[in-house]
Amino acid sequence: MSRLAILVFVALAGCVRVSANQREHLAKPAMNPEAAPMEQKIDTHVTEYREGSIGGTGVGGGGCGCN
Amino acid sequence: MRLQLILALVVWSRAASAQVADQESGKGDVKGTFAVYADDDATSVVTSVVDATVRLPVPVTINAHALVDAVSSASVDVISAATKRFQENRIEEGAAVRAGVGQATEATLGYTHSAENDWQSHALEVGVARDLAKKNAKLSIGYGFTHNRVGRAKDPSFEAMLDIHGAQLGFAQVIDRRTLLTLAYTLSHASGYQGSPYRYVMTAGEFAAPETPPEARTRHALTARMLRSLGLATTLDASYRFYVDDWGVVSHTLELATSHAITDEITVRVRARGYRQNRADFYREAYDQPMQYMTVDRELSTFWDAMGGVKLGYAGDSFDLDVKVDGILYKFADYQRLAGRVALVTSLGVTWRW
Repeated sequence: MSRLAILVFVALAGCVRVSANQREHLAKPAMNPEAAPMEQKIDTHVTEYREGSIGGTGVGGGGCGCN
Repeated sequence: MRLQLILALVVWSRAASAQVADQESGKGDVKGTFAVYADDDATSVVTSVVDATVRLPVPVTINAHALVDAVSSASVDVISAATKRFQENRIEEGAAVRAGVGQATEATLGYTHSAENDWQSHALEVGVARDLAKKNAKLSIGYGFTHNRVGRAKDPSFEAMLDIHGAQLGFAQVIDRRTLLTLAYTLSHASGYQGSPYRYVMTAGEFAAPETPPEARTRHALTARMLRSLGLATTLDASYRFYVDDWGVVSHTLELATSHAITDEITVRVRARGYRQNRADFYREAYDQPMQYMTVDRELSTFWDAMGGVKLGYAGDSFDLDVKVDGILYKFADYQRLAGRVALVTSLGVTWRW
């Protein structure tokens, strides 16, 4: 299963090639999915203490202030 | 629930978005953020964070952060436990190292400690990310472990443990000259005490008993996110998360945001987020009779919430500033003690780069 997933990722990775001189839009700060890690940390801090779901943005779990 | 720290760790340790190998030695930044959460259920949380990153002469960046949460609450949870308003501080400190391995790969190692009067947490996280296809794709994997020691204020006889293992597989792919797609799957497993020592369930005979959720929980979350440039000044950011766990909680989260550069330095962002979950299988507001698993944790009930907010940012050569306001509405379907809640989250962030 994990080998299949890796194969799918590698196949996807090869299907689109945008060269460096074509990245005017992709290079914008707003196009960076990791542009504001502190904001993401605080947003996660707010939602995950008040919702029953976690994950999808990073690994793991543990440690807060809400028992 | 306290199942968050490592989740934040990978995001945190991947903070500076550029590859370590692309950064100049000696460069770095310091960020400070001050945020306030306040709701009409008599709860407020003031969060202060300082975070610093520096690039060493070798392709390694070092990051350290400190965070303080000042919590004050007299929510219905607190009052129904026959206690008065409580105030406490949580202090978190952490460090992470990112090392470039060649031009295309980087490895991350991070540690975070969190402490408050009734909770201690140690979290360790490792990760590897690799650029593929001439930076048209990126694959990342990560693993984290957290050990928690749970206590009860003014009761030294109460002590419980909670261990959490988490793993994530992430993939980012350039779709065309204007579009980026990311996928992230998270698997986590928690074992140990996952209730609250302050919360009691009520049975029909008005018998109050400590809540007893299961000691194991396995959780899955899959997020798809698309960033689309609508012109050099405007960007659309859309994401959807599906979540499911073996306690019976299933949730859907949809978030849409658009940012617009008003000038070269000033950007405004507007966003909206919707969240919906169903209750855990064993959740009841009151139990007809004692059961093996019982909880009145409203975060395990059926509810939805909706958030809308605006952020204004200034980006200078060596100095950034941002101000943000978010409003959140919660509606609980099977928690009669609190039908709904309105919250406001405001923050101010400052960054200095050199």
